[in-house]
Amino acid sequence: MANDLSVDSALGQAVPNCPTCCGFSDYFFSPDPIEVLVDGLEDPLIDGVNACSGVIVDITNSFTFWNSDNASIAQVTTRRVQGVGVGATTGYAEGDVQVWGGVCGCIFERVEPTVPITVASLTCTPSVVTRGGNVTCTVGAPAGSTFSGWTFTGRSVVTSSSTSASWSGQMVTSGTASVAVKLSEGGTISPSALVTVTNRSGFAFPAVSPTSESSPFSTTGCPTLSIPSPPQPNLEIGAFCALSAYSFNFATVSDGGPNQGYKYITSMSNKSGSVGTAYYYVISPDLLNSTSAFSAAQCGNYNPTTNPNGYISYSNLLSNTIRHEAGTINSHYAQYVAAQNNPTNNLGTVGEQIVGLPTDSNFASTVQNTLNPKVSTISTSAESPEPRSPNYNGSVSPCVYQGAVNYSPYAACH
Amino acid sequence: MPAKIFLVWLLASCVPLSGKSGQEVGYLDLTTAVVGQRIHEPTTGSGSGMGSGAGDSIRTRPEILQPLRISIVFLGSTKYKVDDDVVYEIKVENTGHEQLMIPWDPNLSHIEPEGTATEYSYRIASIALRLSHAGKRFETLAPNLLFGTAGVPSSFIKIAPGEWVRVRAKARLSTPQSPQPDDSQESERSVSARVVWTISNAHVSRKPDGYHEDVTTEGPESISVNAETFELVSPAQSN
Repeated sequence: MANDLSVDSALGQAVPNCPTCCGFSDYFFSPDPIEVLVDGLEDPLIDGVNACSGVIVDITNSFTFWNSDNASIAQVTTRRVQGVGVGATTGYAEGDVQVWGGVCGCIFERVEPTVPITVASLTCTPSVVTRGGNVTCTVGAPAGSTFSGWTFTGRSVVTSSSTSASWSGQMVTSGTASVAVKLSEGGTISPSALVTVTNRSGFAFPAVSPTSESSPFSTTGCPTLSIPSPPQPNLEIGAFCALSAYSFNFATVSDGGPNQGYKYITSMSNKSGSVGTAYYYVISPDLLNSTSAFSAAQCGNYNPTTNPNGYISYSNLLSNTIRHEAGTINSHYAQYVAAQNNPTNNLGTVGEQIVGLPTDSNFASTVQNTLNPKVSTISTSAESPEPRSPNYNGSVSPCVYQGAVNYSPYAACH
Repeated sequence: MPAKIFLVWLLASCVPLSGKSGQEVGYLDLTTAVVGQRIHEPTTGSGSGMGSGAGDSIRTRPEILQPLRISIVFLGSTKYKVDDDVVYEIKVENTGHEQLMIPWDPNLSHIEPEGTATEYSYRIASIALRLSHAGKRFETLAPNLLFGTAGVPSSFIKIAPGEWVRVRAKARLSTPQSPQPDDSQESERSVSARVVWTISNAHVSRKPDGYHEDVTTEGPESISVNAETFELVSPAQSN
């Protein structure tokens, strides 16, 4: 606006010229209408149309008071709309903007542009579900809205042609459900909701207790455990087999819901057919027989100072051998327990979490391909490293050497 | 012996060596194979497996059902990053004394009965890369599967003693448990890869609510006699 002074030649008085002002011919929210989700935010502007040029300019700063007709649906504050509850309301703002004032120049005029606000939501209940449980996702939108494009986005995308306001089904994997909502006022909004699937409890396989067997011992899945009689150097006087078995049942989600086509394990067992998970060990029959020549040769004359090359006692060798194979520490059994109780190896824990994609048409093989390496890890962990030999008391820390084993032909004890 | 006669005798005596035994009898490239959708996808099923670790005074090991010698012929690259396809080629050799038949069709739909089926059976050969780092296994990549059924003889390949086949395959290196390159220490991690070969038997039966499949692993898995290594690199480094 210009506001120069000039001299009126007729009157000889100084009077103001008419200011050069265009003002705004229109003003409105942008965007208009506003669609927002419950708890969602929209940051609208207010634009004005220059009455002379028709150019649209941002005049948001001219508006100092913002509100909505229904704060329980949408809360409107300066430059911000927040969805509160499902429904439709009107937002507005008040401000003083320049408008053409008539005969001479612009005037400031208080104006109040309005904007329709629609608030929608998508709620999945429950939002956190245990694998295999059911979830229902429901759209909240004003009456007259229509729904399409139900989509679940997780490890793969599942779609539905349903036009219902809700989508429900069994859930086995986490992801986000979404739907396109066409509002009666013409706009479209796509609310989404996260569904988190948690693991089921009770699937972990417990470590089995060690089972003492008589040498030679053979069973399906294990090599023959056999101790030579009498025991020989370089062949230990005990043996073990950590046998890990599993079986499972699986199902495909077939309810047309968000996880349609996904596969998951419904139950697991630590048996494979008639073969069950087991930890077997055998001890030399000669060692178990306290009256055998081998046992008698373990005379216990070892002394770290006076006879460091002496022999271990029979009782110590027997307890140390049992400890080596099946004790709770410093043993193959302890190594088996540690490996199989590790959640990353535990067949039940791992199996519970295996979920097959809808495109996986050989899910049983997928499961086996995942679990077999875990079986292998448990097996090799039981085998190595080699625990303290039966020459040591491994029940104390540090382990204590208790003498050599006297093998046949037996040396005389002094 | 005159030189010419000796040469003829030498050639004649060498013929058996280059004859039936000790030769390649098949090659499959699974990296370019188009695998179709199976016909009767099961809605329910079951599976099982087992294995054992044993030690100390062991006299005999469990019988190996298939005397196969698996070896990795080559790995496609010396560097991979997560989400790459690891390309590899293996050699499967019959080290036993009898002819073996192994599944040889990557398309399960080729051996499934068409139309409604009451029940059918087939065998699965699973080929998978098992990765380890610093001596610790951390992942087995998605397997490549070969199928065979008695009703479709061409779905098996016969391997006589001393003969072998080669299979080229690939697997996506998408491993949440992968050892990540540590930027502050080193940008590469050496990963050792071995191939695991497993044979399973599958039986499919029709139930009121769809097809049901039972899969049982047959015998212990065979692990390649050699390992190949590659560097697991960060995405930026591989560019």
